[in-house]
Amino acid sequence: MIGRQSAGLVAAAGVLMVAVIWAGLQIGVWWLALPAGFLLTLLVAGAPSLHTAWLAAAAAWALPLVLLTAGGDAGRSSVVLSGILGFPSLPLLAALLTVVFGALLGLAGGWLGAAVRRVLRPAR
Amino acid sequence: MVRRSGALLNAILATLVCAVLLYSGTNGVGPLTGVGPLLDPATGFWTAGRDAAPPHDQTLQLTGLHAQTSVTFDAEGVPHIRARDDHDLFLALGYVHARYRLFEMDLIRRQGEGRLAQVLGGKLLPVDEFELDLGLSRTALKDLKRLAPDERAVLQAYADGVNARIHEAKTERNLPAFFKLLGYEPADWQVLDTAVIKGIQAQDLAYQTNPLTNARLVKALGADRASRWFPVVPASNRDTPYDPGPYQTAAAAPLPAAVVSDGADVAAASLLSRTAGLPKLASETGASNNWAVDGTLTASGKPLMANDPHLALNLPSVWFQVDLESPSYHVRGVTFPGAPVVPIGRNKQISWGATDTQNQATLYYAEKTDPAHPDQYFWQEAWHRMDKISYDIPVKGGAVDHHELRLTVHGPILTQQGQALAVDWMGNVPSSGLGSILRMMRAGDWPSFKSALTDWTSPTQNWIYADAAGNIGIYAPGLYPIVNAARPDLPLPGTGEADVVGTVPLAQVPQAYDPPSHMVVSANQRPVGGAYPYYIGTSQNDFDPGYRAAEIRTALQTRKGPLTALDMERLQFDDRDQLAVRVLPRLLGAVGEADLDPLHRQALAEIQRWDAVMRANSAAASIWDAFWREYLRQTFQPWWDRYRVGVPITEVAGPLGADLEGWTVAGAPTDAFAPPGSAPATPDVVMESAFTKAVNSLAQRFGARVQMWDWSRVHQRLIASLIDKSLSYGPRGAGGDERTPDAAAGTVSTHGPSWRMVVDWGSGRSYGVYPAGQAENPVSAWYENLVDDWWAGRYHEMTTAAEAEGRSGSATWTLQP
Repeated sequence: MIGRQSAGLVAAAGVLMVAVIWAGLQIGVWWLALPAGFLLTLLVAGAPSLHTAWLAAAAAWALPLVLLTAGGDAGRSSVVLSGILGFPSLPLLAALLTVVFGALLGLAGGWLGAAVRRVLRPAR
Repeated sequence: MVRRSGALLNAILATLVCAVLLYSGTNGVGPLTGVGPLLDPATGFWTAGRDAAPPHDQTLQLTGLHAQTSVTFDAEGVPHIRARDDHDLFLALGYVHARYRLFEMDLIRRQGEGRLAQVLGGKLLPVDEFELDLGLSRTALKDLKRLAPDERAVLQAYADGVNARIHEAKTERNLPAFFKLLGYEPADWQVLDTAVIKGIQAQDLAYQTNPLTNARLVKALGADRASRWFPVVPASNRDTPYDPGPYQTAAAAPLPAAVVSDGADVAAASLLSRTAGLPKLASETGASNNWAVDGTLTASGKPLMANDPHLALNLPSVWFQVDLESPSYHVRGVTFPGAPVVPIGRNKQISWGATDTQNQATLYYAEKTDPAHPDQYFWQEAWHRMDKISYDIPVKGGAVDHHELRLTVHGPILTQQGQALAVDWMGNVPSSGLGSILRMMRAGDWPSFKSALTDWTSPTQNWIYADAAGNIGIYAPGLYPIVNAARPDLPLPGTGEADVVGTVPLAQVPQAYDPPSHMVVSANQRPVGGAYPYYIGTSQNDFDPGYRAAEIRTALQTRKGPLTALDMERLQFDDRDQLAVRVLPRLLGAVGEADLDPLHRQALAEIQRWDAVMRANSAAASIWDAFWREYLRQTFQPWWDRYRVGVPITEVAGPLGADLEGWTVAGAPTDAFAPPGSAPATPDVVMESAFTKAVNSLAQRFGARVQMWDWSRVHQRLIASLIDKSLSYGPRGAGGDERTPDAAAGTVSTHGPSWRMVVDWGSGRSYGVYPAGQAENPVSAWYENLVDDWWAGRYHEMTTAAEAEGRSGSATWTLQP
C-alpha cells in the first residue's frame, strides 16, 4: 500500500478511475464505481483520495449525460425518467439523481477502502 | 485497542452502506429493474433519447429485401411504405412496426402465450394461467396450417422484418428502454406470434362470460324474472337493427324457463371471480360505431363512410397507422402492431371498418364427472379420459409455476369449483382470419369483399363497406353457434345432448347492401330484428341497448342538408344521450317544482333547459347522470338485496336501463316498482326520490352552486400507459357517456374511440386520428402527439406516399437489400 502521496498521483489515479468507470457503464457494469473507489482509497491514503473517489465517479456518470445533452436527447429523457422514479417531472432532477447515485457509489467504495486500510494498517 | 475497535466498527459500517447501495441498485421496485441499471447513463433509460428524434432522410440496409424499398414518414409519424413486390412491403412493415412498437408487440404476444409473469412477476401469473387454459397459442398453431402459402409467406416476410430490427437493436445495444427497465431482451419474432396477436384481439372482442352471469341472475332472480328483465330482444333495440328482415325462415322459438343448479351457480361464481382479475375485455366495456351513407344523402353524390372502434385507450395505442403500396396492395389505414394486416382502412376502390357484433360466441359446458372415474367425463353415453396439458410458467423473482390443464371434447376446463366447467369459445375454432383480412385489403367491390370474409370465424364483426362506385353495405360473417339446447344463454350440460350442431349459414348472417334507407349503421346493437330465425344472444349478452345506434340514425335522418365528411366527423363527437332524450320529459313531469327547495329548483331549472348533450361543461349532464344511476339503484337494489343477487347492478346496468326506460317512458307493465317487503311505488315516485337524492349528493360533493357541477368534474378520460402511470395521459375532464356515439363509459373512462376514420368517396380523400402517437418511446415527439388533435377533433388526412413526400416535416428511409 502506498502512503500519503502527491496531488499529482492522486489526480492521475482519479483520471484512471473515471476512464474505468466510464468503460464499465458502456457495457452495463453500473456498480464499477464502488470497487474502483474502494481500490483507490485502499491503495492511496488520505482525505484527497476519498474526495477523488466520489468526484471521479460523479464525473464518469456525468460524462455520458453531457454527451447526450450535446446530442439534444437528454432533456425529455430526464423529465420522463423523473416521473418513472416517482419524482416530479422536472427537467434536471433525473440528471442530478443520476450523478448523485454515481457519486454515492464512489464515495461508499472509497469509504470502505479507507476503513479497510485503517484496519489493516492502523495509524501510529 | 479502542482505536482498533473504532476502525473495525467503521469498516463494518462502510460495508453495510456498500451492501445497501448495491442491493437497492440491483433490486427494483415491482417489475422494474434496479436503480443502477435504470440510471446507467450509457445503457439505462437515458438511451431512450437516442431513438426519440424523428427520422431523417437516410439509407438503411435491411437484410432480406428483394429490391430497394422506401419508407416516407409524414410529420405525424405515419410511414408510407412503397415496395416493388409484396414480400418487401411486409418485410419493411415488420421492420417499421418493430422500430416503433417492439416492446408493445412483445408484451401482447407474451399475454397471449402466457409469459407475462416471466418479465412482470408473480402477480401476472393468474393472467398467464388463464391464457394458457384458454389456449390462444394452441389455436394459433392450427390457424397457421389453414393459411394459403402466399398468406403464410406474408407472415414470414413480416417476421423477418421484425427480426431484422431486433438483431439490429441488440447489436447496437439500442433496444427500447422498457426492455432495460424490466431487465430482459426480446426473443425472435415467429409467425406464430402474429397468429397469437390475432387471437388476443378475438379474445378482447368475443370471449364472453355472459352465460355465467346469466346463470347467477337466473339462480337468484328466478327464470321468469330473469327472462323478463334480460330479454332476447329489448324494447330499446327494436328500431335499430341494420338487418331488419324479412328473413328466409320463421323466428326462433322463445327461450323456455330453466333451472340453475347450486353446483352450476358455484362454478359460475368461481369462474367469474377468476376472470375478474384479467384485463377488461372490450366486449364488456367497449363500444364501437360505424356507418355509411350512399350518394343520395351526401353533398358529393358519392358514399361517406365512418368508423370509430372503441377499445382500450392506451399509450402506446393498440393501433399503428400505415400507408402500404406494392403491386397487390394500395392500402391506407391502421394495423395492430404485431400483425401485417389493415382491419380498418381503404384501398383505391373500397373502404372498410368494423364494430363488434356482440353475438354469443362463448358456450360453457358443465361436465359430468365422478370421483369413481377420476380425470374422466361422461359424454355421449360413455366415460372419456380428459386430455391433459402441462405448462411450466417462468416467474420473475419466483419459482417456476407448474400448471396443468384438462380438456374435454368441448374445450378447456376453466374451473372445477362446484362443477367442472369447460368452455367452447368460437375464437378457438381454427381459421384463416389473417388471410381474410389480406384478401379484403385487395378486394375491389362488394362481391370480392364478401368473398374475402367467407372464412372469417371470430371475432364476429359488423364489417362496414363503401366503394368508389357508390355502393354501401354491412356484413357480419363469423360463427354464430347453433346448439341443440333450449337455453344456450346458460351453462349447458356436457353430456352430449347440448353440443353445437352447426352455425348460422353465411347467407343468413346479418347483412345489408344498398338498403332503401340509404344508410347502414352499427353501434354494437342487436343487428337483427325479433323475427330473426336464430338465437344469437340476449340483452344480457353484451349487445348495446341501441341508444348510440338510435342517435346516429336520428342525426343522419334529420340532417339539415346533404352530408359531408365534416358532418361525419362531428357525428363521431356527438355527445347526445338518447336515453336522456327519452326519459327527460317524464322526469320533468314527475318532479313537482312547487315542493322543491331553492337548491333542487335550481337543479331542475338546469335540466329543463338542457338539450341532453353530455358536454364537459354541462352541470345538467352531471345531474342527469347522478339521477339515472340513483333511479336504477332505487328500482333494482331492493330486488338485489332481497334475492342476494351476486352480480353487481352496475355490471348489468345496460339491459336493466333499457328495461327501466321501457317501464318509465312507454309505461310497459312491470312489478319492478313493487319489490318484496316494500310498499308498491310508481315510476314518478321513485324518480322524484332519485332526483332529490342525486342533487343532494352532488351538492355534498361540489357545493351548493349548481352551475359549478360541470360534467368534467364528475367524468374524465384516462389514456393509460401500459408501463407506468407517470407516462399516462389524464385523467382529463371529458364529455360523453356510455350511451353517446362519443362513447366514454364510467367516471374515469379508459375505453373509447381508439381510431376515428372518415372516408369521402366524393373527393376520394380520407381522414383519421387516434389518441396516442406512432412511437411507444415516451421520449419521442411521436409518443402522444396525436392526443390533443384527437381530443379537439382535428383529423389528419390519410395521404398517399406521393402526397406525403411533398409536405413539410416528411423524411424518407431508403431501404437497401
